[in-house]
Amino acid sequence: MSSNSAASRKVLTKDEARALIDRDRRSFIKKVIGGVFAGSLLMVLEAGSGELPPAQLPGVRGREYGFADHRFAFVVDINRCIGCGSCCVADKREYNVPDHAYRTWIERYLIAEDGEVFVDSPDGGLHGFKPRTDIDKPIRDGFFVPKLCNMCKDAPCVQVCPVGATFKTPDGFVLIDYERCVGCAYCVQACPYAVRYIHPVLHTADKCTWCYHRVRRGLLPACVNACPTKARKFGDLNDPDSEISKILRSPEIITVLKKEMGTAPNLYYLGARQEVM
Amino acid sequence: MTELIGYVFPNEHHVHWSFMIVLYPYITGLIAGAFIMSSLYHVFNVKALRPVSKFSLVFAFAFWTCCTLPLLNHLGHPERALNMLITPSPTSAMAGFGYIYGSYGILLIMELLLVYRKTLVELYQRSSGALKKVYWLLTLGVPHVTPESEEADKKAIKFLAAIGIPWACFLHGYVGFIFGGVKAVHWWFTPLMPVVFLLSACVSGIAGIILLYILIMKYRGEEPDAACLKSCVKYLWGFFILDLTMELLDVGIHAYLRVEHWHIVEGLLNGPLHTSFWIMQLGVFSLIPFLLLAWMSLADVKPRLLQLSAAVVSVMILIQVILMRWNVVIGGQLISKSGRGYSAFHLEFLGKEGLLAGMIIMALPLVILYFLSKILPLWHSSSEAEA
Amino acid sequence: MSKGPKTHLKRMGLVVLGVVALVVVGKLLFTPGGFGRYGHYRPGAIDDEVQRPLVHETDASCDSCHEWDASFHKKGKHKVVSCEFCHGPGGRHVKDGKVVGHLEVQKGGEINRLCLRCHDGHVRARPQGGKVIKTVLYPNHLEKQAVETDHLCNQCHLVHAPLEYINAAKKMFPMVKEGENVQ
Ligand code: HEC
Ligand code: HEC
Ligand code: HEC
Ligand code: HEC
Repeated sequence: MSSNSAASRKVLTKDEARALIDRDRRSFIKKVIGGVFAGSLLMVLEAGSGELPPAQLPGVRGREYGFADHRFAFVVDINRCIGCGSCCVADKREYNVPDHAYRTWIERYLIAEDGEVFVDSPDGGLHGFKPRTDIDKPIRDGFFVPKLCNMCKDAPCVQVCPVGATFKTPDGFVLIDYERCVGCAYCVQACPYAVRYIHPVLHTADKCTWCYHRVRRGLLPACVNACPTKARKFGDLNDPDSEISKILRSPEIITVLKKEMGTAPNLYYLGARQEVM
Repeated sequence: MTELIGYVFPNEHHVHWSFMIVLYPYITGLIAGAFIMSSLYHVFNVKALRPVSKFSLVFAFAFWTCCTLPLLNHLGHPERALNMLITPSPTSAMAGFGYIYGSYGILLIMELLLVYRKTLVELYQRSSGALKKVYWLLTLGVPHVTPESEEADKKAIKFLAAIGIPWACFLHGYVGFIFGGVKAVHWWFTPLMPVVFLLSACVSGIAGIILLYILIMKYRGEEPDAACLKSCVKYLWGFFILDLTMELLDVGIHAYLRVEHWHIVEGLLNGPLHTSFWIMQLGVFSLIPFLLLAWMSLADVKPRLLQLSAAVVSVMILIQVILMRWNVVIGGQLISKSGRGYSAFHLEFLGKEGLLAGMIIMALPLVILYFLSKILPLWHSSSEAEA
Repeated sequence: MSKGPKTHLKRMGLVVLGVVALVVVGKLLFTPGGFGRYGHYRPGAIDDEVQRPLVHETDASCDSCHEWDASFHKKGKHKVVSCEFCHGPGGRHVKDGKVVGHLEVQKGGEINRLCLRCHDGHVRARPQGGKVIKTVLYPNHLEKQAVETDHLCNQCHLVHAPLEYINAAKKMFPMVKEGENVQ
């Protein structure tokens, strides 16, 4: 992406850029689009190079990362999810997830007066939800359920991986070694939550990682960062002040998915109706 | 060939274990079954099976050489397949396969070299040049036999065959466990799975031997040994009774216990699998062979009729077993983990894991068998004394 | 060398032992370094995952350059909506303090689609009561405001602070509130 012809490159300091943007934002943009600043894509702004945005998770940055210091957990509040799909969009961009593969997705549940349950998830909710017109029954309850990796304490995928390419880190994340995975898909079969898939380009298993690379930089997972309603919450249980700690210690009814599988997820749900699978 | 029904999770639109993974347990089953056939003679001294005892062994070996092909074709990274041997995970039901399969191959080769030792020595003496070197190697540098060495060989063969039986059972029961140990797939998750796999393995192995025995003999213009055929048929019947009992028990337990998951399994069997399970696997291809086998085993059937019906029954049973593999492997994956629907599967013809690739993989062992038969005579020559 | 009746059997045993030794050596040789330090896996895989480049930043990363837009965003109702959701990830826009790519800016009908993705009241499964999200029915909402239904949402709502203009208008013309209220 960087320039190969110095002539077409316009170097601006950050202050200059800001002054420009502030002085005449629209005409500036128009000039840029109109090519007045030829090759604006190559425009280089000095200063502020590559620093991280301010930390979102306390206690991760500025010291050596101790595996034992953190116990991360994820809470999904079903009563707050509006089904906008911001999380899915963020996730797809963060990992360049191929089409028809889903690290995370949203399901729409509509429960009719007579108890019939209608579930759908068009493109995993990536493009949001259109109104459903195919149900002509009165609906008594409706809600969205975001799904992602459960980060099981006793993960079946880790158990069945024949080569140790799916593993649990000491701080409780289930990750994949893309260099050793043979792509046998046994983990895909073993996951009760269907969060795994075979990556069509890498030809290895792949799944949600709770954005381990962001967490280790003190940032929230991309989907949590993108969620406009705080339906997705992420935090450290070892930090008694985190929202996660407070929720999981509150008298709220907290459930996990498919408890009977004995997987002991680290992903908890608030407000999950019994129909949620 | 099934259609999508109800709601399935977004990642479940694709069935990951395709036709190749149907073939893989099918081939290991043939190996295990054929080996057990030959061991019936070598260990349990079932004299009637002597005519097919050598053939069974070569048959098992030919299929053994091709057993990993469907797996390698299926893997996302076949070039990393050896990771299974380098870092096998002690907790994985799949990790042991490499070692079990490998050691089983060593055992097969050892037994073959001993069973064919006399032949190899003769071949060494007759050949010259590079080929002679090869035979020298195959006789382990001792290209002569004495009565004492033959006696030692017989004991060694018996020993190898004896450990080979549990090992073959292990090999295939283990393959069943790979499926039976997946708690997330309710159609697989049963302790009966290894048993069902093992028994169907024996059944398919015996059927394969019978069919090829009859065909090859006919091709050579000879008559298959009537007594041998009759006992093969009886063994087939016996194993088939056990196999069918276990298959029915498996469904029966699911159906009778009626736990939560039965309803989704029921929907599978009565929906997408209706034809391939009830009508084909348990109907046509079980009932007819079962009745025919009973008749062939109990009645005094004329040799020619026996040959014909044995061939027909063997073909049907070979189909029954592959149907069973299909219904287990593909069927299990059709069930959505959402509990609310069934995924779709379409077998392609030309694809990487398509029907054609499968047919080639299934034909390859037969080609290998043909070439092996050029070196290792499959049948006892009439002059050979009974061992 | 004398060849007894069992010489070949012994050799066979030796060959098998040789194969076993080969497997053991191969296994030791090819096992990645450090394997098993934390568990049955390559510890380097954790580092690989940590090294994964950031694609999304946070809203705070846009402040320094887009002060003007950010200032509205911060004080409006949309402060909870991530800039990067509407515009695309910062990692594709700015790298090491350098602008490396354009982000998308919705125009025309795209804007309505964007807004309705979150605010469409026809989608039934949304939380009710307006505590989490206030929804509108399209095009009723526009009809209620007595405008053509081809109006774009951003003609009345500042996208970065959707009530900015409306509140300002309300202050100026308190009657707007009564006559053209929506629900
Ligand atoms: C280093 C300063 C800098 C930072 C940080 C920055 N931008 Fe920009 N942004 C620019 C400049 C300069 C332009 C105009 C040049 C261009 O279009 O490439 C611009 C243009 C844009 C545009 C308009 C593009 C158009 O075609 O009209 C959007 C939208 C935008 N930025 C969003 C963001 C978001 C969201 C973030 C935070 C993730 C962000 N920017 C961070 C400097 C920055
Ligand atoms: C709800 C979605 C949404 C959010 C959140 C959002 N924007 Fe925008 N933004 C838009 C839309 C739509 C436009 C274009 C239409 C308009 O300007 O009315 C736009 C225009 C822009 C432009 C183009 C400049 C201009 O005035 O034409 C910039 C720069 C920009 N946004 C930056 C940001 C930054 C920085 C943030 C976060 C602090 C942000 N936006 C948050 C939707 C959003
Ligand atoms: C990603 C989802 C999302 C998108 C896209 C979005 N909004 Fe919002 N919007 C929200 C949320 C969430 C709130 C509520 C914030 C709160 O109540 O704290 C909100 C609040 C509002 C409000 C204020 C409602 C009130 O009275 O409290 C208006 C008006 C609004 N949005 C209009 C728009 C318009 C116009 C657009 C299109 C440019 C848009 N929104 C795009 C999520 C979104
Ligand atoms: C003609 C101007 C106009 C247009 C165009 C317009 N709105 Fe509004 N919108 C309003 C006014 C005025 C209100 C009322 C604010 C109030 O009652 O406090 C409002 C309120 C809202 C609210 C809050 C509703 C509530 O219950 O408080 C949402 C959400 C909203 N608009 C979304 C949209 C969306 C989405 C679009 C584009 C499809 C849109 N608006 C287009 C003028 C407009």
